[in-house]
Amino acid sequence: MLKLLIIASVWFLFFSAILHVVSQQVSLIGVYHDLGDESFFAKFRKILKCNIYLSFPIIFSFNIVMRTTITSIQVTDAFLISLPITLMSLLTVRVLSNPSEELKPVLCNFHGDDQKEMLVELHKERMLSFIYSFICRIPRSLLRG
Amino acid sequence: MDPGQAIINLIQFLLGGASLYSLLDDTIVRGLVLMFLLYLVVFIESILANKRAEKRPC
Repeated sequence: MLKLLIIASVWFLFFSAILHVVSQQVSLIGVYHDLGDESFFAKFRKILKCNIYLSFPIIFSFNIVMRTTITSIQVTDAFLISLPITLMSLLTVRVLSNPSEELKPVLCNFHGDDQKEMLVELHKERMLSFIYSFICRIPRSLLRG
Repeated sequence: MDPGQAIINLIQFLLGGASLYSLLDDTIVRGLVLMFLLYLVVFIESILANKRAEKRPC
């Protein structure tokens, strides 16, 4: 019984920390801001930090999926393959979350200019919601793996 | 950068490095625990940052 209580309290501590940190980092993905009085390197450091925090669960997830589904793969190979996949996944999400004129939602073509901004905002929200739920789903996948 | 922040950054770096290294070492569970600890440290850091922001005069 004591062991169960310890596991429950540790998981409560870890899970609340994970949800809070991931939520904070994901909310930064869809934001573009002018440099203002901030230096370029300060902004670059913040973006790098945000991407590193989000990379960990994705690297673990891809790594475990590869190791459990491909029996012949080496531990080192699985680790090395999961790095570029994670990098490109985060880059793709970042680009799609901030759509350019070519990548804007098709719905924009059927509405006037006044509603375009709202539709792009909705699109951003959808992308952020996707990545947030994707990352939050990872701990469950990891526990099953 | 103040010494407290430097220590927190160093702890985060060590936890992150050890977590990734454990993937190469085939000890997934240890890696997961280290990753969770890393997020716990970031969580505590954000709480401390909020406390500092509250004390700062507007």
